[in-house]
Order: sequence, then C-alpha cells, then structure tokens
Amino acid sequence: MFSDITWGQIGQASLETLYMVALSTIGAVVLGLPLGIWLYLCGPGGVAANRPLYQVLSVVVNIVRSVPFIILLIALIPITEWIVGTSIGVNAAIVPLVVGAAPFYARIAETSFREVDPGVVEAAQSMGASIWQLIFRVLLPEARPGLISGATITAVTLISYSAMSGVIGGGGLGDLAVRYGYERFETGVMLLTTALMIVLVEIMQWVGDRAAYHFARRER
Amino acid sequence: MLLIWLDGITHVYESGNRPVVALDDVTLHIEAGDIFGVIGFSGAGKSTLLRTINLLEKPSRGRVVVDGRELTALPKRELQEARKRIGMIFQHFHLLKSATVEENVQFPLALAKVPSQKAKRRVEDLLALVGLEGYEKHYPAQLSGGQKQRVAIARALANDPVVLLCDEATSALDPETTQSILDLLVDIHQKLGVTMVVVTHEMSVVSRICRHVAVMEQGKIVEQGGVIDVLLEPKSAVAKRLLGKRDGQLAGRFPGYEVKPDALLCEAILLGDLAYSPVLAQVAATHGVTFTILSGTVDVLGGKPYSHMVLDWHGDLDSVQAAWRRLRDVGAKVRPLRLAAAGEFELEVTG
Repeated sequence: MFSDITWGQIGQASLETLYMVALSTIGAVVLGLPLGIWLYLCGPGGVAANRPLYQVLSVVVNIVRSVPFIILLIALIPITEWIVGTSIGVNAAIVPLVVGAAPFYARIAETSFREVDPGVVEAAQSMGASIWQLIFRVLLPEARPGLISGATITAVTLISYSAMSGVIGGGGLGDLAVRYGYERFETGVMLLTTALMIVLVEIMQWVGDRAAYHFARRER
Repeated sequence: MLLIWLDGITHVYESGNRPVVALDDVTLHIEAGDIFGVIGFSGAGKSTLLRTINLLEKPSRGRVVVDGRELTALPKRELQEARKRIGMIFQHFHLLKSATVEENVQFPLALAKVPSQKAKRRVEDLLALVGLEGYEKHYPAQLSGGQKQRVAIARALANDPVVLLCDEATSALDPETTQSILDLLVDIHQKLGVTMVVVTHEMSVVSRICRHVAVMEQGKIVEQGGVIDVLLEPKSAVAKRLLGKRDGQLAGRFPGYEVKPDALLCEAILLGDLAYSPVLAQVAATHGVTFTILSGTVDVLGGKPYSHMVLDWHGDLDSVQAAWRRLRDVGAKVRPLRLAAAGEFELEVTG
C-alpha cells in the first residue's frame, strides 16, 4: 500500500507540519495582535477613533485575506527570498503562512476587543489611564479568552494552509497527502496523512479550548 | 471653598445628522465637602453633566475647573494626571472581570505607579472601609451587585480623590442594597470628607444623602438650592413631578375614609428634632382637639430627620386654627388643604 513511502517520511512530515504551524501561528499572533489593537483603537467608537485610518487598515487587511493562499504563496516569493534567503523549503513556507494568517488573526483580535465592556474601558479612562495602560492593563487581560480561542482557530486554519506549501517544497503532512495520496493515487497514504492531520487538529482544539476555559471560567 | 466650577457648559452632539443639545449653557458651583445631587428624568442631561466634570464628555463650549485647575485647558497627559484625583462610580460597576477584587482596587494605584508594598496596604485599608475583608481573591462574577458597587467605591477612592462622581450608582440595585450603599457613602463622607456629586433619577437618594441639589430638564438646571428647600418647597414643575406632586395639589388616596366637604385638613411638616417630638399630640391635647393621620412619611432629608403628614382635624374651627397657629409657632410648617375633587381625593393647597 505504501509503495514509495516509509514511516520515517511520515514522521518527518508530521514534525514539519508541527514546526510550520507552530512558528507561523506565533508569527501571525505577533503581527496580528498589534494590528488588531490598532484596528480596535481607531475603529468606530474606539478610544482613538480615526475613520480614514481605520478604512485604510481595513482595506489592506481585507485585500490580504481575500487573495487565495496559493497565489499569495507565489506572489510572496521575492519577499520570502529576501527574508529567509531561499524561496523553497519549510522555512520559506512560514513567511507566506504568517502573511496570510496575520490579518485573519487581527480581525479575530479586533472582534475580541470589541467584546470588552466599553464601560470598563471608560472607567479606566476616568481613572487617568494612558493609551498604553489601557492596552496592557485592560484590553489584553479582559479579551484574553477570546484572543486564545482566536489563536486556536488560526492554528487550525494554518494546518490546512500548510498543505499547499508543498508547491514551494514546504513539506509536511498535507504535502505528502497531495503528492503521494492524490497525485499518485496512493489511497493509503492519503487516508493516513489526512487522519494524522485530523488528530493534530483535535489536539490543538482541545489544548486551545482548555486554555481559553481556564481564563474564562472565573469570569462567568 | 469652591471645588467644582462648570462655567457656561454647552454640549451639542450629532444624532443622525441632527444636532442634539445635551447641555445648554449650564453654570454650576459645587463647594468642597458637599454632597451635591443632580436629579432629573432620563434624557435631562444629568449624566452628561456629571461626565463633563472629568471630561469623559468634552463640552462644545465652556470651562471646567476642578480644585483650582482648568481641566478644559489641560493637554492630554496632564488631564490624565488630574483624573487620578477624580473618582467615579457607575450604575453597572464596570469592574475588570478578569481581575480579582484586590486587583481591581489596586488598578488605579498601578496606573498612578504607586509602589506595590504601599499599594497592598492601601488596598487592605480600602477593603476594610467598604466592608469587604475576606473577599480579596474573589472575582467580580462571584459577587452580588451591592458587593460589586463596594469594590467600585473602594477603587474610586484609591488615589485619595478630591471628589467622587456617582453616576446612578444605586439604580441597578434593590431597595435594601441601595440603602446600604447610601449608608456607606454617607459613612465615607463623614470619615474622609470627600466631596460627592450624585446623579440620580430617584428623589429618595437625594433626600437621604444630599445637602444641595440641582434639578435638570432639557439640558438646563431649572432649580437648585438646599435639599430641604427644594424638596419641601419645590418651585419648578419638574421638581414637583419628581416628588410626585402636582401643581398646587397633593395627591392622596385614603381608601375607606370619607373626607367631609367641611373637613379641616392640613399638611404638616416637622423638621429636625421636632420630627421625633410628641408635639402634635401635645398641641392637640392643649387645645382640646383630635386628628386622624391620612398619610405620612418619616425620613431623613439633607441629613436631618423630617416627617410629612396629611392630617384631618376634629374639633371646632377656632380650636383647630389655634392649634395650627401653635404648631407654626414651635416651628412646624402647616398648610391648610382643601379637597379638590372628591372622587379622586386630591388635596389642594389653600394657604
């Protein structure tokens, strides 16, 4: 059934997927969170409401989000080369994954911040909080469960995105599923790799839910 | 000493492309140490007025001076500093739900960069002041409404404010909890002497804790003065409506009691020590008359006890009138009443 493939390759691919998803989730949060805060602050009803700025940011975010990932992957090759030094391989795949997922996470973060009670934000302002104090002492802690759930959703989405990174030699389970399972009609490989990805998604969702629950439990 | 001076405040905002005047050239003086009430029906502009004091609402025109500093002239940084000395509590408490009681009270101290050891001791003192010892590690979700408001009060007092702004602070609470929060505010006022500005739509809140009151309608202050004066002798139609009085009339329902057309009815108000004295019975006995109490309230007004009754007197006209004169002489307010419409039991003030 596994004519051209060894267990070693599957193990290798699993590690590659974990590596890509972990690093690109971190990257997406690191870039997306400040962008989400910015969107929230200058958005309608925000503390630093600025309609033109919000609309510019909003359009940029929407453009990146609406480009099909496979096209983003190719379009970003020059930038990837500049950052990583090469345009192929697992590390090279992380760049487009981050760029694709960061605006996605920014929107999730923006929504989480909007769910923070505006009264609490106002109370903090009435106590003389500066904008930085507002971000670090009110918005981030109050929105924490939503931000964690959002990171989980982003990570799970990145697992399926990472399958496409095979196009630039990104590797990973998804790549294996496409190249061996789909293109060479090796149903066994396809089923096994897909099953492993399902397990991966289940584990991530479980961990993420536990973390979000841990912080949300005491707030209800 | 003048603590708060609002000078010609006008606040206009756009609502669906139509300008709405929330505050219309309001000028207000509040003395240090006062408990100042602002009352009105919803939409009268009273919350906007309160939120103008710490510039949560920026007025379109006018100046705000608090404790000798013109807040409307301060740059952002300095305004943030000035706000640390203006405490505020809200109808819906607005506590950080991700933080414990202790962390919530410590929050303004952290904003003011108070060293953590000092802040810890301060938090302990504040929680003792509001009666929440033992709740340090609780989260707001585990507290009742009254307890949440106590946390909010402790938080608002953390940086030793010169004024405490109360925005409908008891409107989300049941009557019993309302009473305990009002008692706490009076207690804090006695202990700390902090000036309070209390916005409410409930006359009972004003009568229980305030010394002075401003009555608002359509963005203007229509009447203001000492609580006793405004509540006992309201001049504006709004104040009368808030008190449940109609112009020149006292609503009264006395089921099963027949008020005769020639009955000698009066409204009697006893203030201060007089309220707790047996003066009515004594005067009635001296003049050989009796009376029936048709309605009555005994409460506290501007920090003083008072009683307010509608009485139907029995006896001959001369004796009853002599008794009324005697009551006026000892300091009671006595006003004759006439039945306005027999079916509805409305009493008309005649003198």
